[in-house]
Amino acid sequence: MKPGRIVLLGTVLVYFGLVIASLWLLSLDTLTQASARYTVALLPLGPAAVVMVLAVRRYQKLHELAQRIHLLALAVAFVGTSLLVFTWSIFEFFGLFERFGLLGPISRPGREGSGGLLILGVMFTLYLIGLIWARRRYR
Amino acid sequence: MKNRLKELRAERDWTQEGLATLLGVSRQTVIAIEKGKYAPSLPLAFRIARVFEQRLEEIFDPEE
Repeated sequence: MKPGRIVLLGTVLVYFGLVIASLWLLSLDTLTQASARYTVALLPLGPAAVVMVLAVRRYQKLHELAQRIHLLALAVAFVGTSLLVFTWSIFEFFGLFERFGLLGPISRPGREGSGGLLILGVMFTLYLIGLIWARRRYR
Repeated sequence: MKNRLKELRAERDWTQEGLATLLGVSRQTVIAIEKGKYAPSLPLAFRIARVFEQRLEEIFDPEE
């Protein structure tokens, strides 16, 4: 594996580690001060910013056809996810679909999340579909 | 965009992989250009012209 990829994967792991640690700390009752809770909640943003910079650098190093392929895949993922989320939110608003939490529909009141993991899953799935389509297009 | 890449490469007995290495791109890029599925950027088109020692318009046909 190339060093650049190892650094990127390592930073992603650090990010997820900090997300888990931050969620764990926030779930404890020991952190009561609002400033401390905000600080802990914002901790993963540091490595997240590094991941973004590293990913953009990797993209810039790709040869031009690979850049085109990844751009098409990103367009599929971005437009597809935006439309799905927007449509879903309309259905949710009118009570046609159940509200979604972090991992799926949550019936228990007070546990509604942002649907972050679900959206991430949809985005990555659409990105992979876009990548396969774009690669075939230039084969 | 139609081009003479395949023909010029064949004249020199170069492989797609070899040409890709000379141009600093992937083999997939060479294949896509040869098939007319991908129009290269201006810097890459100039690199192609330099490698084949031809003028741009002798390799690429903008009419297609």
